[in-house]
Order: sequence, then structure tokens, then C-alpha cells
Amino acid sequence: MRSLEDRISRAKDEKDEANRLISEFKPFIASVVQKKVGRFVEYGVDEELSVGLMAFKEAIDSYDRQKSKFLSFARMVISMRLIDYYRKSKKERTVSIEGSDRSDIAADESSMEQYKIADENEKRILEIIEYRNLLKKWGISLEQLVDISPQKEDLREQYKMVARVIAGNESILKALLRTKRLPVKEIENILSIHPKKLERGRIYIIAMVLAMVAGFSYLNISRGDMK
Amino acid sequence: MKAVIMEIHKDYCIVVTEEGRFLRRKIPSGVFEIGDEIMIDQELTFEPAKTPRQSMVGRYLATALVVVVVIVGAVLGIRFIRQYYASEGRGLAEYEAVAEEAAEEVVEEAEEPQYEYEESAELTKDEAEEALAAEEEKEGNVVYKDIYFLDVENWVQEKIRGIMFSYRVESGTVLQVQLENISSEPGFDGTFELFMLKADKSETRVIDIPFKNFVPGDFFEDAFMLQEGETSFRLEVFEEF
Repeated sequence: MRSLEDRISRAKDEKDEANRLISEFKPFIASVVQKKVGRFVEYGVDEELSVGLMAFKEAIDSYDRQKSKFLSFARMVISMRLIDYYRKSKKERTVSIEGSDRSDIAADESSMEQYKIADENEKRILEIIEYRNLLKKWGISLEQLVDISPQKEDLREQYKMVARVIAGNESILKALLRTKRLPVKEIENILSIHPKKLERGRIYIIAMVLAMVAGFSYLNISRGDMK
Repeated sequence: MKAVIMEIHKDYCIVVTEEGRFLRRKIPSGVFEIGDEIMIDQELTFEPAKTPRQSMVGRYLATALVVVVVIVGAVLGIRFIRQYYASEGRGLAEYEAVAEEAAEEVVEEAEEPQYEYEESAELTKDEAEEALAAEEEKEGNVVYKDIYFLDVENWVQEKIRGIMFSYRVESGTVLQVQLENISSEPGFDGTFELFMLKADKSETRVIDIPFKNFVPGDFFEDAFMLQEGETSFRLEVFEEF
């Protein structure tokens, strides 16, 4: 799989790839803007998000992979453009500018521990975005996962065990990926779980399988399984 | 418990815990970013699952609620029918008497072949009830009722349920009737019944004008020879719902 930095390099020349990146990273852009302006912002409503989108595009175009990680760089560009925007419209006071990003970065660099945390956060964001995209391809939303996520620990563990079996069994995994249906009979043969129970947990199991197969290192969705 | 913010919405965010549980949590606006790790209160995240006993209680409550709704609906329905007849001037007593009479008549008729079929007693009772119910239903669908006199030569018009009913008597012998749907509503299904009356209000005959999907713009016209002694008619409009 290509790294984000590879994709950025490609996006500099290919408009489609740049658009795809912007679309995928919209939640990230929104969360950076929100943190800066100190309130919830909505696409199509708040102008700050347009500034954020343009800043992200600017970050793609001017990114130098030798100097820093892309998301840190994009975050800094978005913050600076937001400050410019508020200065221009004389609304600086509403921007949360307790410490500019440059000083943030300096502070980060002054402490290896902080740097490590920031680096992990960045990798986690990438994994979240990748996970959301994976789920989207399967027609699963996070809202849906909240609603069907088992409350009982026992049941959750049982579903995770099913996911582990699927992820660890090549033929069952291939069947799932090919048909996008849970191979209930095969799982039943191995784990003797009632088909109805499996069907009820279908979406959750698939979501867990996708996380396991993707091998996320920083998005620790299922303790003991992902790392 | 540690959780990672996966998605931020206006009033809440979606987090995933280390145990693989997806939850909605309230967070202050503009403080967190996607990917931030937050601590969530275990007590707050505790959402007790319903025990089988609670589920049973829920089912019983739902069933009880349905029963209550049905009973209340039936009571209100009966009250509505009674009020309707009371407002029609026939009076409850008269209505009940007519209904009883109708039931007795049907039962009597149905009881006739009793000697031929032993099991027919149950059947005839059902039939009697059905007939009574049909009668009640028909009565319940009367949407208009009024008396009109036949000593008119000019057109008399009345708008009934979006339909313009017009009549006149030509040369004192022919009753001309016109009906036109002037509404913009869906088609009318029902019957215009003209109960022809003598001076002493006794019925001579009934003229039925049935309609099936009488849509806006449709027009109907007919003429009927008046019989001797007919001085008025009672118009009753039945609508099928």
C-alpha cells in the first residue's frame, strides 16, 4: 500500500488524486478548523471550511517530504491561512491563537516525548481515515456501528473471536471479500455459533475483520488483536 | 476507559474504545480533533442490557397498551355512531329498535331451514350478525339526507360532497335529475338514493343512482316519470369509504 506521502507526490501532478485526498481528509480538515475557531463548523455553512480546504490543497502543492510529516504540515498551513482569513476580515479575536503552530512545533521538538505523541496521533488519524474509507466501501457507517455495537462484553468478545477466525482463515476471508456476505456455514462449522446470532452481528463482525486485516497499529480497536 | 475520537459532529463525537465498542459522546466544541485519545467515564458508558425478565415485562406492557387502544377505539366508535344517529333526529331508541328488528328478521329468516340442517343454527346466527353489521355499516355511510318537494319547475341545486345535485319537474310529470362532480378530490364512490314519498310521507319506491369512481368533471343526467300521489322525495347519499 502506498504511503500518504507517496499519494501527495502523485497528487501534485494528478488533479483527480488531489481531489480524492481532499475528499478523504475532509473530516480531518474540519477537525483542525474546529479546534482553531473553537466551535463546530459545517461544510456548506461555514466559510472557514472553504479556507481550510484551500489551505489543504495548498499544503499538497507545497509539501516537501524531506522536511516533515504531511499532516503536521497541512495542519500548520490550515492554521496559518485561518489566521490570515481572520486578519483580513478583522475577526482575529475569535481565533484561538494561544501559541502559534510554529511555536507548537518548536515546543514539540523540544521534547522527544511530545514529538512521539504527535507522531502517533498523526499515524492514528491516517488509520482512522483509512478505516472509514474501508467501511464506506462496505456500506458501513460509524453511526451504524454505534447502534449495532454489542453492549455486552461477552457477546462482543464472541463476535471478535468470529472476526479473528475469519481474518485468520484464508478461504473464509476470500469468500467474505468476494461475496461481501458472511460465510455463516463455514463459521458455524468451526465455532458452532447459531446462524441467527452471526447474522445479528454481521456488520460488527465485518467491521472487526476489516480492522484486523488492515493491520492498524495505532488505532487500537480491539485490544490484543490489532497489535 | 481510553477511547479514540473517530468522527466529530455538532453535538457529539463517535469514539471507539480499546475494547472495540463504538459510542457517542458529548465533547466541548472545538477542543478535540479526530484521532485524539480521550478518557471516558466507565459509568457513563455503562448501558445496562435488558434482562430476559425486563424484556418480558416490556412485551406485556406493549400487549396491554394494544388492548387499551383497541378498547378505547371501540368505545369511541360506538359513541360516535350513537351521536351520529342522535344528531340525525332518529334518536338512539329508534335506531336500536330498528337494529333489533333487523336482527330479529334476519334471524327469523335464517331459522326457517333449521329442520333441514342441524348445524345451521350457528351459521344463521353469524349471518344475522353479518347482516346487522352490514346494515349498520350502510347506515353509518349516509353522508347526506334531506327532503325535497316536487312542486317546482325551475332547477333546484344542492352541493353535496363536492357533487352538484340538480333536479326539476317538467310538466308536472317528469323528474329530471342532473349530477356533476365539481370537486377537485378523488372520485366519488357511493349512491344517491331518492325515496319517493306521498303526501303522508309513505314511500312509493326508491330510485337508485349508483356511482363508481365518479371523478371531477363527470356528469350524469336522467329523467323519471312521476307516479300518482308522489309529492316529495327524501334524498339520501351513501358514500363508500
